[in-house]
Amino acid sequence: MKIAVIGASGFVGLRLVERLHLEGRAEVVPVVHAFRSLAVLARFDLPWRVADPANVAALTAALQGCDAVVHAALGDAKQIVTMAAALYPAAAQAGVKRIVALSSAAVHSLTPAPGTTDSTPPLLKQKSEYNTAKARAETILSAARKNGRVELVQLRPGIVHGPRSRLVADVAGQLRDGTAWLVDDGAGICNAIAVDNLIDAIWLALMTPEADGEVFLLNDRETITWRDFYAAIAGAAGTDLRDVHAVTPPVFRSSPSARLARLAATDFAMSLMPVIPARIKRIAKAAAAAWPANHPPDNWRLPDAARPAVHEEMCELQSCRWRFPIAKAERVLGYHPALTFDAAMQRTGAWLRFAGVVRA
Amino acid sequence: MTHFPNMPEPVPVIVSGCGAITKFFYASALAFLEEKRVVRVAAVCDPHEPNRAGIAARFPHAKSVARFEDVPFASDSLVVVASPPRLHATQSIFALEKGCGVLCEKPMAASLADAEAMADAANRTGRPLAVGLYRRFFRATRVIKEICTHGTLGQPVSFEVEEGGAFRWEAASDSFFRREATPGGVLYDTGVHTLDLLLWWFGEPSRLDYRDDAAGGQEANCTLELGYTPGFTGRVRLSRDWATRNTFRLNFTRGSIAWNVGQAGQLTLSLDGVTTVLRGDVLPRHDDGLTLLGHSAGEGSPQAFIHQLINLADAIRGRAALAIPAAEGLRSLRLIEACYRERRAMDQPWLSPAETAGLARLQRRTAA
Ligand SMILES: NC(=O)c1ccc[n+]([C@@H]2O[C@H](COP(=O)([O-])OP(=O)(O)OC[C@H]3O[C@@H](n4cnc5c(N)ncnc54)[C@H](O)[C@@H]3O)[C@@H](O)[C@H]2O)c1
Repeated sequence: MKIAVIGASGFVGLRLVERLHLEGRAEVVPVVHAFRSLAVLARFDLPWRVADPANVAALTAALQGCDAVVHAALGDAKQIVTMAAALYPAAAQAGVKRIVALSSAAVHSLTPAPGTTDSTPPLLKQKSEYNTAKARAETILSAARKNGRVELVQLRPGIVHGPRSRLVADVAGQLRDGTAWLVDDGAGICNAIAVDNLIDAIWLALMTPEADGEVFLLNDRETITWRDFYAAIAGAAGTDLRDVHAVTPPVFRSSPSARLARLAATDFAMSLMPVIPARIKRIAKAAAAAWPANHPPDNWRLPDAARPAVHEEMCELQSCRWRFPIAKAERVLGYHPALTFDAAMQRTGAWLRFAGVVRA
Repeated sequence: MTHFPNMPEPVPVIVSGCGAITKFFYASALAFLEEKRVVRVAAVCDPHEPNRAGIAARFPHAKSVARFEDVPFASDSLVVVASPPRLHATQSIFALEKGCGVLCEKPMAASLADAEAMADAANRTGRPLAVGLYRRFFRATRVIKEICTHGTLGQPVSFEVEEGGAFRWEAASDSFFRREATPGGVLYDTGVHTLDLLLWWFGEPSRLDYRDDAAGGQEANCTLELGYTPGFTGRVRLSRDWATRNTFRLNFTRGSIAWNVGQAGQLTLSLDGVTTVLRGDVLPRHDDGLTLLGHSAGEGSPQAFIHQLINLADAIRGRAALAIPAAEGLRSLRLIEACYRERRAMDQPWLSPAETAGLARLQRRTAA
């Protein structure tokens, strides 16, 4: 079976290519949008293709000869929507039989209403442009399936963690620098899913006939709080939670420039890739330059100790009180997360040392 | 202050390869030197029309040609070879034989044998052949060279180098990632610069241990341990995958130097007996710090590219020796080929047993 992976240089896409290729499960055709995105993929001798995933003709050409396609590309809000609009017609014209598209649990917002399940429709009006775009993309694809013949499975993973996760690397950095912070002592629910469990789910979504037309929420098997999540990263990084700042979420001002400036205040916010797309990151950096510093310059001070930069999106994420159910994925896909949270974090720790994020 | 050679006529320049390095570096450096009447771009060459057109638009007086063989070569022209590495040897030798001087981008060639053939051609024709190891023009790297040569901080004890990050170079083709165009990955790319500096400062190592993560393609991460006969060792970690510290840390018997790769004109020093570290600008002698003028403004990669072109223009006119002749370009390729011969797999302990087995299979195939 020949599987195209769109967004093959991203965190999830790259791991999917690695798994499919190294485990010899399928022929993989990585699809990336720019030559530079081949840098890590080029470790393998693979028939990669370079194409703009928002351009139907280019994407059709890139998908030629593939039986299935997994869409794991990220972009800014506009690109997310245009990529979704191009995906279905391109797959149809290229003769692809099944699409597995990575949506996101963020279609339910970062603070989902208790009782949210796979059958809860995506929220098309959200504060976050990115989450709204993800919701729209899902809706566009679902509509296309109704009028087309290409099979479609959409997956809504929560917080994806694992080797090459920016979020994990940044939390590890904050724990090292003494700038890590938790809301409400980390009691909120972190809907974590190990990237390797997600890859297993993608495989099942490719292979299970009954999954066609369905949407699945995905999580690890354990219920994880944000405190658990940070503690596991601390463990992987050889440190602990002693220096973590306790944060009471401030009232965030809501002007767009204030929001952007807060985003820019920290690279950490920038690392929440599923939450904040790249273009916004650039705008945010520019906005920050124009934002007055908290402390006007004053010679009569000693240097401040490292302080956490608190921002709204992370506060919201950490305030989540609902664990997304995975009963439907278990029932229809036969998804039973193989990696425990602890085992997954051990793998991540090994990667943190490999990458030099954490020094042995 | 830079002295611009008083050329009777600007040196004609031919640019082969209109990809990213030409777009982001050579085009601006050449435009500046055209203004100073040091050079005049005579022709730009690239088979890929859109890339060529972008550069041709900046030099409307230059000929725009698709095929290298169709370039109107005048002897004593300066040919910038900025095409994919596999083409460096044929294009450089062709240009030398036409009587031109050549500035060949790094890596000098796609194999040591090809690079040696280029050096032979330069000897045979008597034309200058320079290699684009532009970091040797940085003030910071030159100071380190002097400190090594004169033993200013004593004898070398050890070094640690970490270089790279996610690959963001806006490559205009897939030439970096296809083995037919470039035989290696990060070591064959930025690693050429890294190893060149180490060879320049410390000489040839006597032993090495090299590991990378290539599995049928080109490495994105590698580690290298080097041993030197006087008894010191060094470690190098390169990546085009994930952020590193981008730092050279060099330890000597009487102090240490830290140099950040992105800072052409700055160094950090720690000296024995001094409890703090000193960090600052590297200034030419005539600005001994008393005037606080000059600073490191105007010191960076762009200036290094301009200096390399001036050096070659001078060499073509017989006014200066080449700063980085072919023989210097051979050194890093020799070391890189030795690394690839001794290649071992980097441990990737987050992979599952099935993946590790698959990886080993692919790596065996790479080796064969
Ligand atoms: N000094 C440095 O630090 C540095 C940085 C980047 C690249 N480089 C080197 O510069 C060279 C080019 O790199 P790049 O980044 O521009 O690559 P690129 O992939 O962006 O561009 C390569 C260009 O060469 C063209 N080309 C292909 N065949 C050709 C031919 N027969 N004749 C002329 N041109 C041809 C391609 O069409 C393309 O436009 C490489 O050797 C690379 O290693 C050096």
